Amino acid sequence: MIVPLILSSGPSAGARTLPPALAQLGSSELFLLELQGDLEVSGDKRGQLVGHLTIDDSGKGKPTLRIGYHLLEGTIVSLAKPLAVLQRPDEDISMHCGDDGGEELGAPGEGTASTAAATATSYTIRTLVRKKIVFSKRPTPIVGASAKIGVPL
Amino acid sequence: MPEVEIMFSPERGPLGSFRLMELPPDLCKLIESSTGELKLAIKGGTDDDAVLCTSERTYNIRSVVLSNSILVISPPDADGTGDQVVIQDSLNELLELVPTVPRLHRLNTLLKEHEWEEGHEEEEENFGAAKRKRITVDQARAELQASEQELAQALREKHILILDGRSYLILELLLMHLVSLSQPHDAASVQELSQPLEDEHEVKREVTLQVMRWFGQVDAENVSWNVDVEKLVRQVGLGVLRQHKNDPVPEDEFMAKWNAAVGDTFASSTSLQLLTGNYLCASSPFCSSTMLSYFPCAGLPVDPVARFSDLFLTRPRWKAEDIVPYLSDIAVDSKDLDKLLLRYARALTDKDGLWYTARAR
Repeated sequence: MIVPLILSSGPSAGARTLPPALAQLGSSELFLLELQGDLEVSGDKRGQLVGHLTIDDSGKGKPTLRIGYHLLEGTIVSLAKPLAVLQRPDEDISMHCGDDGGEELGAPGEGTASTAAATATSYTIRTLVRKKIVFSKRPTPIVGASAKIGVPL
Repeated sequence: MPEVEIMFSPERGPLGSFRLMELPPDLCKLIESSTGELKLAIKGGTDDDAVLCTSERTYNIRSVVLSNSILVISPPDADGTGDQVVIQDSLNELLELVPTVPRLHRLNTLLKEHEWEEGHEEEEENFGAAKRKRITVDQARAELQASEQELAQALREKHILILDGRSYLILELLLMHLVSLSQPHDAASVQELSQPLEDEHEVKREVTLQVMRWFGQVDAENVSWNVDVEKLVRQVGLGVLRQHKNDPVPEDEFMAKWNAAVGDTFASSTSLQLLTGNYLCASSPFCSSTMLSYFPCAGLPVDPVARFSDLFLTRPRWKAEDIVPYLSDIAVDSKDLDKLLLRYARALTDKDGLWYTARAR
């Protein structure tokens, strides 16, 4: 079977772009944020606030992420090899009835049930990414709920 | 300092719809310079490991699991405010691309039934048509994990392989007539050569033409044939060598046979080098000259482990220059070839030079 990769035609006119504060990341469409561990959420997380991201614009580009009473300090890392961000178009997702754990990409031979639908699968290369924000340190607690963000602790 | 709010997506998260793929420099350049007419595809059956094909190359896709999670974040939908961004997906996996050789071994299986061998003469007439009917190029394209260019090249090469026995016969006949009619080999008349073949040996003109195209160029009007001497001589040599699969032949005897087969005009073009990757030579204690036997590279397994075990079963020690031709089709480049040797073989140096032996298990 053949799964074509289609180059995205770029952001359509009128589409939203990333806030100017994130201009340092070199992409207006998508960016990657790496966390040690996972974001664990209980309950319905749809549309909920995760945290506040700040990127120091004084030149060094130190990103900080505040989640609740925790503050993470990170770095902007240039990737050794650029990453292509692939996305399966939306109409495919509805076709797969929500089951889109791992198509033939990583786990070949997933079973024949999805084969019929999978023949129509395609991926779009949304963008190439050269930088990512990495938060690899442990979070530090913010003392006092009203502590001002970005002040070194 | 501007602050950006990170939100979860307001919809039920379509987890799994994003993938990250690490791009090797050459592929990255290709994508950046492309003007939208880029042909990229992931190929593979349900039992294969997936590969990515550009129009020229093939890459293995490997999934690498990350201990960190990577969030893919994009601008908000229409109803978000300007300083908000939305988490689209959380990924724990990265796809890595490693250049690889095209996986064409399935082509052999696909075409196996259509192989022509000496002794199966009754299939002769319809074999050309049967082959075209059974497997279309489109089918092969969907089944084989190789890029367009690699596939096209393989089809040309394999046709010759598949026709081996027959093309050898046709070639001999062609040669015979070429010489007896004293046609110039850079502009031989197609008509005069194919006619006697059709009359005396029931070889259809189309088949003759096809063979001619593999071993040279036929002009647009199918009138004259410009012979690719080297290819033709090589093919005839293979035909002679093929008979010595199990009983080795002394080198000088083989060369004499070969020279006789190609005739006086081309005898000067014969050279053992043309047959690299198809013969083994061994010195015999009873005979002063080197013995040659037929050992085609194309018949060996594609998987490196199996390839090496086959090679070392055939002979326990290989000279460096002897083993290289038998590996070149499973290695991307010379660096890759060295890596294979390093991993699957043990190098020894003695007064005769560099030898390779099997790694002890």
